Formats: sequence, structure tokens, C-alpha cells
Amino acid sequence: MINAVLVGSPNAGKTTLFNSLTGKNLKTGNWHGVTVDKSQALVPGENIILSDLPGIYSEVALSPEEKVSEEYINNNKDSLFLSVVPAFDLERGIKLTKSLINKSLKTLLVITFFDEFKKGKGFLDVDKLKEMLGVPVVCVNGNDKKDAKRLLELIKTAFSNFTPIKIEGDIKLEKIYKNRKLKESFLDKIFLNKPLSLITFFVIIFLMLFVTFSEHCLGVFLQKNAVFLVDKLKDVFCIALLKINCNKVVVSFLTDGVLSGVSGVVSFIPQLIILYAFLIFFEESGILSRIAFMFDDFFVKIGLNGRAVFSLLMGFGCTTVGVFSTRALEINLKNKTALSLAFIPCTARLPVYLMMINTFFAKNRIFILVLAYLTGIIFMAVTSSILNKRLYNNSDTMLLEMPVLRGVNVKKLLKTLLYYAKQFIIKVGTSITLVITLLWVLKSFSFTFSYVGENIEKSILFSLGKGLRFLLYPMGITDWRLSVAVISGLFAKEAVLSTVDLLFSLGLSGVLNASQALSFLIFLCLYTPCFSTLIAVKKELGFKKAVILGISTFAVALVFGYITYFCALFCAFLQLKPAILIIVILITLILLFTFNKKTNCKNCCCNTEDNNERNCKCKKSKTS
Amino acid sequence: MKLSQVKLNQKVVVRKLNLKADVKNRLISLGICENKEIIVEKTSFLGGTLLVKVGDIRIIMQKSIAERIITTGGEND
Repeated sequence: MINAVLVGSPNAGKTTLFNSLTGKNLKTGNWHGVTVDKSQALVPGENIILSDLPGIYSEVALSPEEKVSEEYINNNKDSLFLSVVPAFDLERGIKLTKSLINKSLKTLLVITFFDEFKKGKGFLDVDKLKEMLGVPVVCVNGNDKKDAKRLLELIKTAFSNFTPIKIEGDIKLEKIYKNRKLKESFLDKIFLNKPLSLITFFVIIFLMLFVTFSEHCLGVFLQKNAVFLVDKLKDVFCIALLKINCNKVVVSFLTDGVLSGVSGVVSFIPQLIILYAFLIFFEESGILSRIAFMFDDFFVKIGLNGRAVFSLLMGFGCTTVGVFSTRALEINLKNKTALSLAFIPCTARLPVYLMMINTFFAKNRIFILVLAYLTGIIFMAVTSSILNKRLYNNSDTMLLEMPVLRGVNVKKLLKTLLYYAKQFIIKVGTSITLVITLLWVLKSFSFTFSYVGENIEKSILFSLGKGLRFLLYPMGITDWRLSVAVISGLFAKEAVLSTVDLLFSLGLSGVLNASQALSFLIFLCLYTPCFSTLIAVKKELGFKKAVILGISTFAVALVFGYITYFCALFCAFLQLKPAILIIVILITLILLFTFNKKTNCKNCCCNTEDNNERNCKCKKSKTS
Repeated sequence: MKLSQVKLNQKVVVRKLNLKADVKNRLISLGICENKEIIVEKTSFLGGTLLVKVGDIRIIMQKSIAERIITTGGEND
């Protein structure tokens, strides 16, 4: 058995090679540090185990994912190390190769992105390089099947014929290597130009949301058809079960419980896939890291940094997937991002917003919808900046390499998309189905665990709703049915919709007046994310944080619901237009935010080990 | 002169890295070390983050780090 390991600098294309050699489907990305844990797989038809390690720049480990790599190298000295170096980065990458060779490890130099390198008129004398290093050298393109075969043959020969050597002195590449000429591409000029980048960013975001969520567009169309299919299936199933005289409780459990959970999951899949296709495209092509760079300032202002942009954008699709995607970030940044993600309005919240807006604010639909989204985003920003000040203050700074803009391989994009869809169905889908089944149990059993069926007034959920309805009193809402809807929304946001359908035969119109509706909408925007998000937070950050997040978001939503109601009443009393007040609140929030600049010493880099603290601004101000 | 004060598109030479060992190592492995020629190519929207060019590679670096990299060779030296 041959044990082969891929090592190399971040973004060198290790995972792409791994996938093409083993036929697996790990996540790749034109973004540094996509691989955070080592993964292993058998090469099909060969006697080779291939491992993929997180990228390292040098063998001195720094970040947690680099430690995984270093430990692995030190513990597995008889493996064959495939030192993966991108062709246009040979001067730097060869240092790691050299140190592997000098450690007397079996080494093979794999040069990637060779096509791209040649296209840019780069030149490399491979035979001379082989002579200089004394180890086999191979040039490949990650996605090419023929290259993969060639590499496998070479792995076998390199593993069996190996003589340890030492390389003295520096490797001189000048004569045999000429790097490609890097032209600043036309697109780079746009993405890195200040005003243009702002415009392109908003166009990109708008386009993405439009195609996914707008009526008559692809996302909504697919969603409707998917839901239609599952509902048909449900009906057929229900009739079949009733024909064979199945127990009523079992029928209800299977159709209203499990299958409606499944249909809930299915209804999100089309929109999520479209949204994620966009995101993966931006990530793979390197556009996302340009956005992360250009708008890093804004992320720093709210206590995050540009690396969080991917997770935050994922959050607009599904908060749970967003929380899982924070795994690649440093610990403090991960905490801040994952916890503040709770306020990002996800796909499931949108139908609830639309229901409220269509019933109560049909006149200014767009304005209220934007307000609902802005509320979520502003609260996310405030949360992360508070977390940054109080809990996770550290000077984690962004320091990474900007990847080159690259065209995206459609096959690879589809593969990655499939991976995400799978992850959503397996990780998130099962928990949503479980949670909705649990909701069914609460809805159809009384406290004595007798089946209540249609008679929902006796169910556990109903009693809970009735017991908690006083929480909504300060919003002017006395109807217990809405508090039942709120509780079902804790399980899954879209359940608010189905509960309202079930309990209000005539719809919501007439139940609330405008100010009550507005405050209820604000409450819905902010309150606890669904249980599957909390489960994800528990998995990533621990049980305590998940509980605190659940309770605190609920409390925040209540408080701001009350405030909105009183403001609305106040407006009505003064006969002001509520829009004016909303704008005033927004402006004060923004002002509060910008004036709250960091002044304490922790935030500058005083914590250096060398005695150069004189350079630090805040030390100066202290002494003077 | 600190790297954070260097004007855009000006070749400067790194003289000193006044940084913690781990950040310093990271910079070195990214290719920024003493006596290396670098260029500040772009800044982010509000200027808080720099895009530094070292040879063929571009590195995203926040100002807090750039403030502690001492360079010479700019116009003001």
C-alpha cells in the first residue's frame, strides 16, 4: 500500500488534484484555506491511499489548519509527499519542496496550472529542474484525466525507487524559469476600482436575489413546481393509506408530519441551488475575494473582516448552511460570524414577510420588504460589533494572498453545487424534517398524550401559545392564534405560514391594524432562528452559546417589537407618517454606529513581542 | 516610512518587520521579507486594507499590519 500525501501552499490546487485522482468530491475554491481538515481516500483500481492536507506556506505551522498539515508531515515520515506548486509561484513554492527533500522524505514535485502558465508565456525547463532537485517533477492540469493517469504511474515509480539526498545552498531558478507576464485583466480594473466596484457589487447582489426570489423568475418557478409535485405525492400517499384502512394517527403522522417536513425541505432546494450556484461561481472565479478586499473596511467596522463575506452571503440562502460554512474561519471570527448570522433574513423568512406585506401593506410593498431586510442586516451588524467589543475582541487581521481571476469550469461548478445540495439535504434537511415532525406531535397531542386530531384547541402547542400570548400584548396583539404561529415558527420559519393558514380561515386581514402589523413584522424579522440553526450553532460553537443565542434573539425581537408599536402609536397620535419615523430611527442607528470608534488599547497591535511599542499610537497618547 | 503611509504604485524596499513572530513568519512565507521590493497597488474602499504586490503575487493586508512594516525608497525619503 502506497501512502501519498498532497502538500503545498494554500490555493495551489491540491484539492482539485485530489478529486481528479480519487473521483471524490471535496469542496474546492479559489479562496485560501478551503480545506481545513485532512481527508483521505483510496485511489480506485490502485494500491494508493491519497491524503489531502490544508495548505501551508512553510513547514513552521501558524494557523490551526496549518498545524494539521505540520503534525501529519512529522508523524508520517514514510509516506510519499506530493509537493504541489502552482507554475507561476515556483520561486516561493520550491522552498517547501526543498525542505521536504532535505528532511529525507520521499518527495515528488507536482507543478499545477501549467496550461495557464504557458498561456501567459511562461517558460520552465522541466528536465533541468529535475536534475537540480534530484526528485521526479511532473507538470499537470488539475482537471485533466490523462494527466491524472500519468501522475499515478509516477507515484508508483517514485515510491519504490527512492534515494535520500540533500540540497545544499539556494536553488537558482533564473536560467531555467521565466514567470508568465501577469497582465492586469480588464475585469480586475473594474473590481478593484472604487466607484465601479461598488456598482458591480450591488448589481451582482441584486441580480442574484432577483433571479432567485423574484416572481416569474427561475427560482420561484422551480419552487412552485417542486412543492406541487411533493403535495401530489402526499395526496396519493394519503389516499392509498386510507384505502388499506390504516390507523388515522399513523396517516396523519406520515402525511402531515413527516411528508410536510419533506415538502418544506424540497421547497427550498431550487432557490438554494440557484443562490449557491452564483456564490460558488463568485468564489471559484476569485471575484469573491476581490469583494472581500474592497469592502473589508465595512466588515472591520462591524467587527468582522472580509473573510466572513462568504458565510454571510450563504446566510441569505439558509442560515444553517451559513453557520456550517463558518468552519473555515479563525475561532474568534467564527464566533462573531456564526452568532450574528442569526439575524440575516433567510429564504424561509421571505414567504412569511410576503404574507404580512401582502395582507397589510399592499400599497408600499417594496418599501416594507426592503425595511424588513434592512432590519435584519442592521441587527446583524450591531450584534457582531457588540460581540467584537465585549467578548471576542482580538486583532485578527486579514492577511492572505489574492487569487488570480480565473474562468470557472462548469463541470466543477456543478460538482461543488451537488456537494452543497447534498450537504443541505443530509445535514439540514433531516433536522428540518425531524423538527417539523416534532411540531406535528405538539399540534396533535394533548398533555395527556391522547390524540386530538382536528380538535387543535386541546393540543400542547395550543396551550403553549395561549400561555405565552401575554408576551405579544405590548404589541397590541391579543389574539392567541398569532402566538401559536410564533411558536411554530421556532421550529421552522415557513411553519408560521402553514399555522396561520390552519388557524385563520379568512386570512390575517382585519385581525391586526397597521401599527400592530408593523410591530409584528419587526418581531418576525428578529426573533429566534429556526431550531435547525440552533442545532448547527450547537455543533459548531457548543451548547451554551446555542441556548444563549436562542433566548437572547427572542428577547431582542420582543423588545424591538414593543418599541416599534409605541413608535407607531406615537406617530398616529402626532399624525406623522410612520415612514418619517423609520427614517429617523435608521439615521440615528447609522450615526451611533459610525461614532462608536475604537479607542482602547487592545485594538492596536501593542501586544508585540519585540520592544517596539513606541510605534503604537495609543501608547503615545497615554504618555503625553 | 511605514508601509501604510506609502503612496500608491511606488516601489519601496522593506527594511524591518516590527511584528509578532507568528505574523512575521506568515509575511515571510507570503514573500514579504527584509530587503524585498514591494508596491502598494490598491487600497480598499475606505483605505483600511491594502493590496500589496510582491513580485507576481498580490497580498491583501490590513493597515494594522502595514503600520508595522518599515520601508525605505518612497518619495519622502
